[in-house]
Amino acid sequence: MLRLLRPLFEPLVLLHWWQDALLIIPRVVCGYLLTAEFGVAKFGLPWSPADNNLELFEVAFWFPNDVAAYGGIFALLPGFFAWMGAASEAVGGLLLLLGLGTRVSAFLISCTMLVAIFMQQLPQGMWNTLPAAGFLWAALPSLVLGSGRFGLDYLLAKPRRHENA
Amino acid sequence: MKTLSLLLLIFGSLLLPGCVQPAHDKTVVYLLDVRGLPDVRQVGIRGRDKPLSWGQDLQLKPTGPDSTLYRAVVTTHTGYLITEVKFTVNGEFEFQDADNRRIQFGPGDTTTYRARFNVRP
Repeated sequence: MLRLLRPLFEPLVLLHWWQDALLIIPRVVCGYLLTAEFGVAKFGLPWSPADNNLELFEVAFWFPNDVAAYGGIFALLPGFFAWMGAASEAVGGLLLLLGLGTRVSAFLISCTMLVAIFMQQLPQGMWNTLPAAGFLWAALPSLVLGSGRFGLDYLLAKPRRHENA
Repeated sequence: MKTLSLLLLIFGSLLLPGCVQPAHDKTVVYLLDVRGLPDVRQVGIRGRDKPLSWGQDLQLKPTGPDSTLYRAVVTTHTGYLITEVKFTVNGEFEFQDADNRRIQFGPGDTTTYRARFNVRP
């Protein structure tokens, strides 16, 4: 099982360190904004605004209603999809920032942003899709490369690389 | 493996709605004193949480025929501890380019909020 999961977590390392350093910028900015600003307003984390009255890992009361309005399968399981979307932003953003489980968090963030683009923002006009599209584009390099040299995935995978050498 | 994934999905979809923040109806009775303001034709309130909005006034009614005290009762379904509002007179906001009023919900269902137009509590 671990062997199956290993390629999912082990980062691809680019030829020069500065290439990895350049790609850390969208990852860190995207991760920080999601976990500290956008996700945390609707998902309970220790740094959620106190006025929002969110318990740990609790999704804001209004978000399932918004999700249900998308219709189809979202109206069938609004609580599930709202929790997944909010957790992907708040917790996924933190993991992306740290470079831990980078591909998994980038995948969850990408799915959430695709839903936001097509189900919520596109019906209000193309310009409205820009925020979610921005996060989607920022998450894509991490989806392919993982954390690169600068992330916890790299540190965790390092001993194994020595074992293989 | 497929069965396990399916079971996890079903379990998760049943469990996760339980992690939704509880929300309750909270009623705020707004009492606004417009004493000293000239030519008051319409008094309103705008705010962050439904049924209020920032785009349209909810009208406050005078408490008596010649009264300068206006009143509105607003019930919001919310899980938050506070809401944010601003009053308007003749369609003009108070505290222009400044922070909104932050109304803290009381422990009960109903909170009474007394204010003077354009004066911080």
